[in-house]
Amino acid sequence: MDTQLKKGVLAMCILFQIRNQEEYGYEILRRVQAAFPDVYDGSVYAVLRRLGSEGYAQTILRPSESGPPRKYYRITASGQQLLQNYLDDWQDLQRQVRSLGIP
Amino acid sequence: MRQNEFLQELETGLSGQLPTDEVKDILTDYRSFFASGVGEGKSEEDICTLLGSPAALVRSLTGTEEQPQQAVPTQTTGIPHAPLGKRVAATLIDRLVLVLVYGAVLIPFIISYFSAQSEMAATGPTVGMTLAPGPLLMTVVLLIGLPFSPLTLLPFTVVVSLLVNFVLWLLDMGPGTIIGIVPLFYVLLFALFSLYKPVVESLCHGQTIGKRLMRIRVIGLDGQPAAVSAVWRRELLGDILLGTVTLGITPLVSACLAAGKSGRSLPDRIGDTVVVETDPPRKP
Repeated sequence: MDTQLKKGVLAMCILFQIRNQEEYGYEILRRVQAAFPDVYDGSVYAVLRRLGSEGYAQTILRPSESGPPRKYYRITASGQQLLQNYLDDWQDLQRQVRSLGIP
Repeated sequence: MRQNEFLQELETGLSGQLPTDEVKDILTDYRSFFASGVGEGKSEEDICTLLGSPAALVRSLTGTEEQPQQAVPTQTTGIPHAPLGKRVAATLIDRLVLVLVYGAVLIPFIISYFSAQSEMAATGPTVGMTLAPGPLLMTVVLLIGLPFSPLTLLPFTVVVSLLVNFVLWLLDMGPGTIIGIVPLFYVLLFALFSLYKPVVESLCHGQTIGKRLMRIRVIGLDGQPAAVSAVWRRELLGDILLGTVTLGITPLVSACLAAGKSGRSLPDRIGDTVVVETDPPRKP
């Protein structure tokens, strides 16, 4: 998959996972990874990190009984805005592609 | 791969690329991923499969995964180019193949020439039926001389032969002459020598017979198989035409360039290609 396109789609999927409630990073990773089995290059984690560092998601460390503290991700207001933009773009893209007769 | 290996490889790959506290943060994340995976009853190997390879992760995190498309020339320097000896050997093998092909076409012609000549000797010369020995002599010399003559002079030899034979052909032109066929053989020879490499390399993923035997291959600068257009530019323009026009000087220059640090001959530079070994010796 084209890298730019892939990154956009992955960012949309990640933000969608946390749109309503905060989520543990591993859980996000696992779910998105399951949907994109061919994305094996750690780019899901890289996109997740970038969303955190750019302020679209807030990270909260929660202690765990087993192992090191877990990092949870919560969407921010700018993240919600970004997700909405992604979803709009996605709808547009789908409509445009379909208008050419591609199912 | 197990957890410790994974984390160690990740740490080694990231250190120096990202700030220390960020590296620490990433490693903590991955430790928690492993702990959670184990908590789900997964094996460390399964978790590694889910998380991908540390090397790919390092590329994603440092943003270097787009490099191959952007920084094309720097990537090529990492590909070891084929040694000059192998390239020269491949050229020699290819020349030999061409000579064999050309010879297979020429020998029936020589036989028919001699039979025609002996027939003529028996009946006596006829008006408009002269046979010049020149073209045949040059054909034979060229045929025998090809494997031994300096390879760089070959295109020059071919062109001179073509011109000489064309003139002879014009002089001898008359009803019934068979010498008129000789220049056609030179055209055939020249076409064969010109088209062999681009055609075969286009069809066989950048390899001629000689290159295949020497286990070398022409590839694009991006490390991908060379495009058909690049192969034609490389062989026809960079090798044959340039070599012919400059009377064999450019192939000599080319060999010097190929022996140099970049390992890229003149045709390589024209076609944006590089010749590499198909199975390079592994570094210890």
